[in-house]
Amino acid sequence: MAELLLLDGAMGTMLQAAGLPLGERPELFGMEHPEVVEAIHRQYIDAGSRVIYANTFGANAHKLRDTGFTVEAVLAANLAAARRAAGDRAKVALDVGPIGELMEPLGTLSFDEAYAIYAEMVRVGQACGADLVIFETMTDLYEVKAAVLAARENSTLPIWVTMSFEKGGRTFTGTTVASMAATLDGLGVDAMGVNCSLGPEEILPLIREMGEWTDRPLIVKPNAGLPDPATGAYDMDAPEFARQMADFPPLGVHILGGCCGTTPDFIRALAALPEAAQRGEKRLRRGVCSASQMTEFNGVRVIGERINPTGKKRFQQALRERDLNYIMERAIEQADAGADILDINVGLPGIDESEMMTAVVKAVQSVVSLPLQIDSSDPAAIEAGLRACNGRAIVNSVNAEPDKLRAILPIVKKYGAAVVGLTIDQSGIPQTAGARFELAKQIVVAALSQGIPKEDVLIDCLTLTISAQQEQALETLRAVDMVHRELGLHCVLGVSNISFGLPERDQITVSFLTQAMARGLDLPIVNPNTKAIMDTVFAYRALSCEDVGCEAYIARFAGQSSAPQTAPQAGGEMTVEQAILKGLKQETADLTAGLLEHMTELEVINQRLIPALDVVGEKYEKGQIFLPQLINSANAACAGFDLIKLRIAQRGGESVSKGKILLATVEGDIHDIGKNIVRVVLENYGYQVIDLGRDVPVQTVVDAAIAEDVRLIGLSALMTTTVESMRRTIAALRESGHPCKVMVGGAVLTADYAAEIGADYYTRDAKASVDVAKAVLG
Amino acid sequence: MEARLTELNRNEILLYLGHRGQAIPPELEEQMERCIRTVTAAARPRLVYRRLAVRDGELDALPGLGNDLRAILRPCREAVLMAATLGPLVEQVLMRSGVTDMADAVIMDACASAAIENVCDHFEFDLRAELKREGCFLTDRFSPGYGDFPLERQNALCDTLNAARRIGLTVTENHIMIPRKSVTAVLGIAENPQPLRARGCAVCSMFLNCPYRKEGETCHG
Repeated sequence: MAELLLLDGAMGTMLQAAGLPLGERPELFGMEHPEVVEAIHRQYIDAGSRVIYANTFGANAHKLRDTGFTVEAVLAANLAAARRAAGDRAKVALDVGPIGELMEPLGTLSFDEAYAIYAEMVRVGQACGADLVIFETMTDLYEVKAAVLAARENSTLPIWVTMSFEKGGRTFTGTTVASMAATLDGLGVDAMGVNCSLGPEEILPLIREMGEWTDRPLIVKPNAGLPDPATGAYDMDAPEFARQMADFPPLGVHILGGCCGTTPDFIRALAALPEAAQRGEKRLRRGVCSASQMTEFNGVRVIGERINPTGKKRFQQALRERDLNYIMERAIEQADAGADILDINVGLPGIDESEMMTAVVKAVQSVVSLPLQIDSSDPAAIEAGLRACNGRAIVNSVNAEPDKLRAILPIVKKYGAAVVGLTIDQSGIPQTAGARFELAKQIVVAALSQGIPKEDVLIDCLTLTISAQQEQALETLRAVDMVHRELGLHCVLGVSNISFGLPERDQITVSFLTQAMARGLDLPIVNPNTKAIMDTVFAYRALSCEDVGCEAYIARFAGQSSAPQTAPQAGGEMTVEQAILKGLKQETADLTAGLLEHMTELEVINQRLIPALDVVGEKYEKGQIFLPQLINSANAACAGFDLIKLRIAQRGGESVSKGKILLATVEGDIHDIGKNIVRVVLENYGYQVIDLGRDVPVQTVVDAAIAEDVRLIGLSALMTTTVESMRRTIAALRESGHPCKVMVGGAVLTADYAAEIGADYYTRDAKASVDVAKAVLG
Repeated sequence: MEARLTELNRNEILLYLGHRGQAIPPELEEQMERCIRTVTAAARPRLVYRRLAVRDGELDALPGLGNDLRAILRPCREAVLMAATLGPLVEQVLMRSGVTDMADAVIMDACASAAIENVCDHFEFDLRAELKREGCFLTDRFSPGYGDFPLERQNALCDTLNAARRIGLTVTENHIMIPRKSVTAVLGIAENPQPLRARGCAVCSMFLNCPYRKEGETCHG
């Protein structure tokens, strides 16, 4: 049995009852009336609270910005009040809530900014005598990660985290209970749980689920029921609250308190509850996750291999040109094809791998919800990737070399990741299954010694090419079998390599994949866009009973006729101009391929694609077609351009470009749809667009313009409030002395307004930006 | 009152897309239907509101919202402050389509605008019905950015509603709401019927579900 550890109840609603006006910050009220805060703390301690939360919830640099108070002053005053009340009767928690702004990618607050805000609070909090730090009422797992790392790296305080969920088991930002538990368990917090948003009854199933993913102490601090929407008042009384809370101690939950609407009476009622049961020694569920999606290690899970420059000229070009859109498309494509995890490898000579890893991880996370596998041999790049990752990742990879293990395992442990161990060491790849098995054992021992549980060690027994070393296929399969059966570990394999150099590669790849899965491979690294591979995985899941009732199999294949589909005629009578006008992507690509048989790339672009786009633009200007049609046509032309780019990249030639244009949505503004339309249309006119994204700092625009020597800059702003940063960006460009023209667009701009803020051109729409580009760059 | 989202009005979406009667080819029809389905599936509408006291056309708890709102609230002793959002998943869907297909992105953006409008209209409608039982009437719905209602007050509005904690709606330093497809507004509560602006039923988000229209009437009298 475990003695209950009682927390306190609400501070905010208690302060309101004591005279805090609506809309005023409780932390500032506490500075002016420390005696009120201290009295509330005392009431809670008298009622049985042994950990009290200081009145510091919103005392962060962001929220205090315009108040004239420093974080230090506000924390010091409120922590002092808590300390006075606590004496040696209770511990004092530095209470830290969300910063109050949404983080990237949806919001504008960056991970590093969030980290800095929390680091300051934690440093000051420890100096002012806090006994622990509680991050509570959190809804964004990424913000929690920044907070936990800030606390870990800037203090020695124990770290507790509670998040707020809706009834469906997700926070407002979509974080699931499983993702929270797995990620925070990995990060090594001292306790975790749920607070606010719901009453005890609604939290019960969430805590049950949390307990399946972590054996760390669990916290429950619910509201007094649900609030009345019109008044914000809570209706549950203390006896009913305690009655509902009685369900938690038998589950082994022993840290209990109350949130909004609870009072010292509620805590007194909790003090009468019996001790908590011991949590059972049950096997925990494990997996890797993003904030909103868990990929549990309990069946075959496909790791998509396509975000990797090795042997891919077009991907290498995208990395060199920092074309994150191209990489995001590869992520979306694999997610749609059924990948469960995405491998991210950005290693290329001449590229700052750590910096690129951070950028790519963030970009991929903004468009897909799959968990990630950080693929690098450089410890700095691995750490950069793990830090930027929202959730729990896999590191790919370590091997049995002692130096590698020493360099990489501590990073894996710090971020709570899983890790791929390659059965290779300084003397190379062992030729026998037995020798590879021995290396696997060495890796597990090293991981365990670092505190990494064996469930998180994923062994890669290495696929060799049968066209070079035919007998090795069987050795690999034997090794997988041994690692799976004798060590009980999960197995990873880069499968595709098996068929390198052979015709009809899918035949060999699929057959090898099937055999390997039967021997224990559960994390194949493959190209999920290859239908045969995913078909095989779906069939295997049906045969292994993982796909209960064959539901996923049936959903994939039911209604598919086995009759060969009649191949669409490559456009039939259609011309490429007609295909573009109609917005038909595939037809445009097919017709472009046809044209390239007797025309050069540049001829196709200048004589066919661009004139076709001109016709579309004219129709748009005359009101004969409207915006979605204009963009559909641009997209169709894009399919033609992509084909041309691919051909040139494969030939190793220079990319076709009529000149570079820099685009950015200005600092403070996040409305980028207009800018994105302009990007698509400009790209289709053959310009190389460097898209800096949205909320782009003034200096970033200037630096990029100079570094890339760009002569035409396009700036976008939607709001009156952000046109000011457009003005500042233009002024900074002029001041830098870099010769360039600036075109601007956005809902609130007019030609006069554009001239007034110093722009060279006002562009009403995407078509107008092409006219400017032609005038400036030709 | 729960946030409600019903079937989107195609005419309203076309209006946002700048459609002026051009023929719509079947592929585009299909594309629009697909976008409507995607956005509707991703929407997690949430709303929060409070009834606040009004004195001399100003909210007691939140003064300084401009002369236009003051004129509207002049006959009122109370007002409802509301915030509604479609949630962050819609935002991710819009971001994703911005990468894969800008035409989808533009259409989905219009769908999302129609969707948040739909949520607000339902709320307004439900509120109107509830107040009618009390013998009260609602003014027009007035949001930051309308007339001289300063955008800069967006942060204070959301703070007063505790919108970050209650519905996950936050505001940036530049007064932009995130998730972007969100609305805040003030509606006055008066003892007499108030003049309402005519909106044009064909492009109203309530078009498909409007009980007035079914009776051959309009909400704006």
